[in-house]
Amino acid sequence: MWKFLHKLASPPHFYDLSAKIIPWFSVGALAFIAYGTIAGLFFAPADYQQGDAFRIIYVHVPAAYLSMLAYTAMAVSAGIGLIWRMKLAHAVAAAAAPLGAWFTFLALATGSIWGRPMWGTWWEWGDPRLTSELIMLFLYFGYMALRGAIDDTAKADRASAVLALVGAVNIPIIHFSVEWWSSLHQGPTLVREGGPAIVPAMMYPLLAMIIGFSLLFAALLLARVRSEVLYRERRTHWVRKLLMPSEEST
Amino acid sequence: MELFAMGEYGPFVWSSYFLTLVVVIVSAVQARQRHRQIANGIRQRLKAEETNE
Repeated sequence: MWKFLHKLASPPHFYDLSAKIIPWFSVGALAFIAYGTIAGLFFAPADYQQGDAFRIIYVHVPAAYLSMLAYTAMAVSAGIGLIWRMKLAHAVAAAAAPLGAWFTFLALATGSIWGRPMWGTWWEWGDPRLTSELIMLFLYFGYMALRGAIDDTAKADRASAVLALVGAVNIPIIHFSVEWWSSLHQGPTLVREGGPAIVPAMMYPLLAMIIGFSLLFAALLLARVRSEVLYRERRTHWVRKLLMPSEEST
Repeated sequence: MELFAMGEYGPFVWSSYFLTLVVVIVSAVQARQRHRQIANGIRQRLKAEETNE
């Protein structure tokens, strides 16, 4: 196991392996998202209270889930990079930030669109989940701005890792906000005591969308980590050999 | 037609799905472009180094 992880942390090995994995994740993502979209839009029954507006759940929930997953991945990788000085971990953290920002933006935007017909407003500052999710978007922006402001990669890695770890306190706040405080948001739908609060015909497309979006996130993350690895290893022999193979052979 | 109207919520539902599609496409294109940009930058640098040598 350790041997495999050690090998995986080697940049050239990771670069090769990820190129082989990305197409599989992409095809899987496409299949799950296609099923989830079609089943969610056209076959799941309308909600008895929200009517067809509830179908926004199939894009809103996966986006919100990924916004937190991306931050968790970023914070854990940053922590690993900081403690064990693993270069690949910092590359993962740097690659996760823009993706996390996109999915957080998507969760906020689709939530706002859903909120308009259901709550009668696009935005409610008093809602703890909306506000904490917005804070997470700013944390992503801050993380990326900090990285961009420091030219030295090693220093940028360390400084941004500290910010990522400090900001991780927001993750449980987002998750438990609907239980800790009075919120316009509904409580947990899938993972709750007494089982899911959603019928199977509505739940299966949602699960498919969550799996599909997770695979999509994994594919995009790997693609971005490959770019990070290439940039960080730009002065190494293996990158020279990879990008200028003809000159190596002569 | 009724299917696309989504009751009275068609504009809300379809705009959410459209926005999701846009974000997915943009993030995929960005990832691809960044890789190409970095690889081209390194190639140019390596070629410049070869020429200087």
